[in-house]
Amino acid sequence: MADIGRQIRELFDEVADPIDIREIVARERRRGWRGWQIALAAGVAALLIVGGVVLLGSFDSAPVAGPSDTTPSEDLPYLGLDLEGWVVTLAGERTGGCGAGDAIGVARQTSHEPITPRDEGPIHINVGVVSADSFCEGLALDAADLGPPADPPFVNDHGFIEVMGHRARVFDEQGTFQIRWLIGSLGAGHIHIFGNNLTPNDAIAIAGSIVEMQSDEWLAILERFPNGGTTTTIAPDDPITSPVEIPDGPLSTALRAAIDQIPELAALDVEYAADQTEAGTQWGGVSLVADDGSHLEIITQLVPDNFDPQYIGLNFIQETGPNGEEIFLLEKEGVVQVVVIDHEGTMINLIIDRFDPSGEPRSPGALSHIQLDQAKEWALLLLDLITD
Amino acid sequence: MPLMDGEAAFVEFARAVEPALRIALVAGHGVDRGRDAANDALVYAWKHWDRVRKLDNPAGYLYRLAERSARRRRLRPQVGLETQDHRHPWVEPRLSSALLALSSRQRQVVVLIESYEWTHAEVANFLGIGLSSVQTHLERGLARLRRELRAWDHG
Repeated sequence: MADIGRQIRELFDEVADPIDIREIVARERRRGWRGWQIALAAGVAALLIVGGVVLLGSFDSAPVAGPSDTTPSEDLPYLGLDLEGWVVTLAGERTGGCGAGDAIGVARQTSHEPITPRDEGPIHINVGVVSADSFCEGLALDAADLGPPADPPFVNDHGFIEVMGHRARVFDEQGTFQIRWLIGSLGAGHIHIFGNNLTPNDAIAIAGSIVEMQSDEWLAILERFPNGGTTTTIAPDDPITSPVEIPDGPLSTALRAAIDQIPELAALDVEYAADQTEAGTQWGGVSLVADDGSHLEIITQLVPDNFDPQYIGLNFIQETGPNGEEIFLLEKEGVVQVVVIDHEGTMINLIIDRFDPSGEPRSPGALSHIQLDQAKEWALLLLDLITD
Repeated sequence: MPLMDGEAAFVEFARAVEPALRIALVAGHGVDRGRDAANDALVYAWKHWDRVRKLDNPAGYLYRLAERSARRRRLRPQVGLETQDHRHPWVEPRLSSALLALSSRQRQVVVLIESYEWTHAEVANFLGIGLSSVQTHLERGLARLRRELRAWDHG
């Protein structure tokens, strides 16, 4: 095996050229907060200002309760986030259910970088998902619970706030916070935060970042356990977040054929095209790249019969298409997104990402001028073409 | 042109951490996505150097940032270690396919320990997993690799 080890190293040395550090320094200027961090900070600030209510400016230090009944599973999503001086690291961990057998815990625990005066102890965080029709301690978000956001935004029990575009509800539990929010068509997530001297806006800010960054992983887990599930034993190699790819699958093939009939899209380079499947759900995806490096990703799938469009998200503008299609539109932080669903449940989800991965706008190129109206026209046309 | 103090410190840090980031991410996500993610993480480190340099484990932090960046690109190519330009013709041509039979975490651990001679503790600290998990992934990964290579020998 030693020889194989050497050969692997030579293979990697061959295929993965070193990154030019000097080029990074020369190209990128250093900067402070950008992109989602600014948006998040602004959002939290706005909530505080508009609401004018702070539940607890501070509260006495209390013993920090750790989670119980946990089974470490280190292959689960691992998150580090750096926010307003709080540096929190979540290590993957799967917890047991919470009574009704409906919770799938994902992560918990922190290490806390002591970089601000606010640091007076660790924050403990439980993060999990519950299916949309499940109830965990009677508090899970359910479709029937949905209503307009409450005013003031911070409430002890009922009512909702918006965390990074997701409808959420905050529960103040005598100095700890439980935050629940919708994370897509399949269910709800919850975060339970314990900590000394933790203020509501700390909790909201942390939760907002987690929601934003981890929703893909949680969705994947929800898709795997559509009924919530009671699984607590996960094999280390269980591919929880790895859908199986089907090159040249029927959905992506149909999508590509449709794309080829739209000249502006056909002119872009196809970077990726395949079907992916997981837990009985299959979707087709095509990623196109423009000359400026911006991406247009298109996903198509049949949505489930019980799909509730309101789960797509609060920030989407909803319209009805010419043939009764449900249309959801979003333009936010450099992303233009259009979701179109016809009456038979065929969905086109079209996303244009104008920003580079660090959050900077790309230089003008083929996709930089695309507005919502154009994206909507493409999405409707693609839907028409693939269902024709 | 001489580097400024902050730049010099960053360049020194980045040169030290770059190989680990690149190899671990390429092993986990393939050449294109892994290398892009490593690049993104280093750009992030440069732009937030004042903060990153104060962290206890900046390499591990950047690795987790890069992992997230790689995962978010879910429609981009995920895995691929092939190359058209074999500078080392003695490398077993089916090796890349055999490696792809491993899980991404197994591949990372096998590559870092068996090929780049990292210690188990270094891998655990960098990937943010426990020592026992490192050992498990290594054993399973090597066993799988042996099976794949043996299957060819006997096939």
